[in-house]
Amino acid sequence: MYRRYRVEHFQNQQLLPSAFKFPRQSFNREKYSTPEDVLHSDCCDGKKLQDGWGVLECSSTNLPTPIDGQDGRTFQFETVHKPLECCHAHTELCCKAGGEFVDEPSPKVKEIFRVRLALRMTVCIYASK
Amino acid sequence: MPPERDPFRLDRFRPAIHRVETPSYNQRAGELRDDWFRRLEQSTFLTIKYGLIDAEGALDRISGMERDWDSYGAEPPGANAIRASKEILQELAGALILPSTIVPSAEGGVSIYFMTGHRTVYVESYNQGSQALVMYDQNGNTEVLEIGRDITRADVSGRILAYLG
Repeated sequence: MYRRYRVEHFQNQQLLPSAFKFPRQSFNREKYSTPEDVLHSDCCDGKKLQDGWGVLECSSTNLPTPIDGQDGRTFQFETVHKPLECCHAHTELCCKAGGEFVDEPSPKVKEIFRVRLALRMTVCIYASK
Repeated sequence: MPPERDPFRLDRFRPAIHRVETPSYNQRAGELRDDWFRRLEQSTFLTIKYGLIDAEGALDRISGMERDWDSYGAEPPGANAIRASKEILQELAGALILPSTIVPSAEGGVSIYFMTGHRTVYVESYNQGSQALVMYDQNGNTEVLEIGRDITRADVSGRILAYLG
């Protein structure tokens, strides 16, 4: 899976968790995309990106899942392929608990997931200022 | 020190020194600059004072971001998040803690980072007004405390210092 990042979200040789959000973060599925495609306007809702953008990668089998919600629930994370008209590779990362989609887990679950995802994603195209 | 955090970077003063630049002026300005840096390094008060000015400047810059700044539809940092971030920065400056970096959060809000070699802490100020203190190491060991619920704002500086050492 690939995802864009802004240059300020990579500091001290580490990706910052602030590059990620809930719910349903978008990625490009590797099967249908190259890293460069992620920066193409077709995959940016028509927006032409200037300098300062790079591309991250992570295998869907290497996602930080499951995460213990510390409330008796366990949260699973998985990708769902959701092709867009101009970006067939578009994929969303979803959160589930007990088989149901959860868009608003607790802040603790959100932040733990953001941290662990940031630690697992690697840069495949470095952003330049 | 990164160029953008240099309080004496030339572009900050260029309008003021335009038309008075001469070789001797530049030499004297260089001497004063070096002397000031020596004093700055020796002065905790000045380090915190200028560090806080730079941090608030960074907050002002990111407060002007537009919607979709991350190209994935992220909301810009809102007024609540900016205000809460300024308050926590002032609180931490009182404990002699300055941030490593301040960035907009794709979650909608502001993230203030404090980093050492293997450990990182950030204070996440969400647009809806809540805040969280997140501490983690490079192995993914993570602790999340909701400020106001799990920890008081006054205790944040102590937790940061204890975690980062």
